[in-house]
Amino acid sequence: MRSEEPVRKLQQADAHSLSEQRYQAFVQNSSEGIWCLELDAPIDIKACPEDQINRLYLDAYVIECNDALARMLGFEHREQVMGLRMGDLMPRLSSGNVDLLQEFICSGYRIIERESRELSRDAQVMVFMGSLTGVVQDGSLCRIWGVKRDITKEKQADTLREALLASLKEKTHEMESLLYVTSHDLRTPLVNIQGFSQRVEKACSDLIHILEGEPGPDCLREKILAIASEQLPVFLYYITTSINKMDMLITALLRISRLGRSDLNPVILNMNKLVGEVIRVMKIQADEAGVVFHVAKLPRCRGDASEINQVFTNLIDNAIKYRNIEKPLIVRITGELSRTDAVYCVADNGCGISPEHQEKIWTMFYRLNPRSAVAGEGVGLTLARRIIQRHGGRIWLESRPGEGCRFFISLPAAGA
Amino acid sequence: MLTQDNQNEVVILMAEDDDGHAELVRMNFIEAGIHNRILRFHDGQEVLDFFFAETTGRPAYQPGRHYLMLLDIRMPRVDGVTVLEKIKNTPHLKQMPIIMLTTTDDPQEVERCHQLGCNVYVTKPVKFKAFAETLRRLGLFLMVIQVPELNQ
Repeated sequence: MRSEEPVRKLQQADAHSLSEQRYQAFVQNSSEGIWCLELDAPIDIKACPEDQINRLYLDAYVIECNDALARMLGFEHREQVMGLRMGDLMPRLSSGNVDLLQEFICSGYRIIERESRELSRDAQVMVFMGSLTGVVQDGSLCRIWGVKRDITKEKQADTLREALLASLKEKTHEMESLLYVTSHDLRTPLVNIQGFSQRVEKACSDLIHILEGEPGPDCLREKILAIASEQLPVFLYYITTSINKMDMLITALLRISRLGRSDLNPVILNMNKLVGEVIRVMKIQADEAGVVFHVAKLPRCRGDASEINQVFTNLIDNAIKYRNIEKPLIVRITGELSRTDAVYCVADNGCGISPEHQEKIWTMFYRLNPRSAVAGEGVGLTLARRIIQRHGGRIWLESRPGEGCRFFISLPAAGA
Repeated sequence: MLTQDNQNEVVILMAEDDDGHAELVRMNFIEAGIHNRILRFHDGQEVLDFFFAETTGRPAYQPGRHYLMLLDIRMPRVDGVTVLEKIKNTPHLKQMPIIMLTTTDDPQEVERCHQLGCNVYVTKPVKFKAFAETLRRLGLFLMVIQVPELNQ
C-alpha cells in the first residue's frame, strides 16, 4: 500500500509542471552545453541546402540554453547567450561549419557526435563535439536542439602531440643519418690509421731484420734507404692526413649537434642589411673569384640573426666554390612575400647540380666532387637545412646542370 | 700486344674513393702474391662509365675478359649499392664476382647487398690474409669454370 503513495503523488501533480521541473533539473545540472535555436520563420525542408543554410544564418537565434553552454562560450550566465544569432556562435568563415550544417540538412536534420569550430566571446576559436536534432513540422524546420561539449583542450593536446611526434621523427631521422655517417665516414680515416700504422710497424721490423742480418754492405744501405725514404714517408702521410680528416669530421659533427641545443632568438630581420653584412664579410673571397652580386629589395622576416646569416653565408660560399670557371659568377639574391612567408632566392650561374644529386647534397659529408680542389667539410647545406627547419621554414633547390642553381628559403614573414 | 696468358688473367676492378684504402688493398695483394692487374675507380660513376658509357678515357670494358670487382659502398656521385644493382641487372655482367669492401657492418646494409647478389661482404679494416685468400679462390674459381666466357 505504502509503495503506491509516491505514484499517487505523481499523478496528483500537475503533469505539465513536473515535466518542466524535470527538464530544468536535467538541463541546468548537465555539464554538457544544451541549447535550442528557434527560427524567426520555419524553413521549407524542400529548399536547396544552400538556401536553408542562408536562412539558418539569417533567422536562427538562441531561445534556450544552460549555464554550461554559456560558460563554454565565455559568458557567466545563460541569459547572456539567449538571443544570440547563429552567426555569432558558428561563424561561416570558420572552416567546417558550413559543411556541418550541410551535413545536418542532408542527413534529415540529425547529426550525432560531430566536431565544430566556434568563436568564444573573446574571439578565440573553440572546438566542440556535439549533436544536433532538428524539429520538423508540416514540411518545415522550426527549431534545432543541440548538445555539445568543449574539446578545445583535447584538440590542442592532439596538435601538440602531432607536432611532438613530427619532431621526434625528425630527431630519429637525424640519429639514423648520424649513425650512417659514423659507421661510414668516421671509420674511413680510422681504417687508414690502423692499416698504415701496421705498415710502419712492419717497416720497422724490416729495418731491424736488415740491420741484424749480414748481407753485402751495398745492399744493406740501399734497402734501409728505400724503407726510410720511400715507404715510411708515404705511410706517415696517410696517417697524418687521416688524423686531420678525423679531426675535421668530429668538429663538423659537433657543430651540427650543438645547433640543436642552442636557443633560437628570433627577431624581425632587415634582410637587405643582413645579406649586405654577409657579402661584406666575404669580400676578399668574392673579389678573388670576381663575383658580381645583385641584391633586390628583400622582405623582412622573423629569424635568429646569426643563424640566418650562417645560411646565406653557406649558400653564397657554395656559389663561389662551385662556380663555372669559364664565365664570371653572378649571384642574384631576391625575395618576395607569399601569404605568411617570406621566400628568398639565391641564384647563381655556376655548374648546377644534376637531378640525381639534388637530394643527396643535403646529407652530411656529401660532396659533389671530393677530389676537386674545392675545400670544405661537406656540412654547409646540412647545417643550412637544419637551421631553416628549426625556424619552421623550408629550403629547397631548383637546378639544371650547366645552368646554375637556385636555392629557395622560406621563413615566417615579419608580420606573421 | 696482350699475350694469351694475359687475356685469361682476371682483372681486378677496385671502386674505392679513399686513396689510403686503395693503397692498403694494393699492398696487401702484392704481399699475398696476387699480381693481377688492378683498375682503380674513384667513384661509382667511373665504374658505370667503364661498363656502360660509350666514350671514356679509361680502358673500357672488354667483353670476354674476366673481371672481379671490389666495391666500396659510400662513394661520391654514385654509391656502391647502386653500382651493384645495375651490374646484377645486366645479363652479360651479372656473373662477375663482386666483393663489397666497406667500412660499415650495418646488418641491413649487408642484407641488402646479399639480396642484390654480391658474392662476399667484407668489412674494413679487413684481415688481409683471409681476404686475399677469399679473393684468390673467387678468381681461381672464375678462371676454372668460366666456360663459356662472359659473353656480350
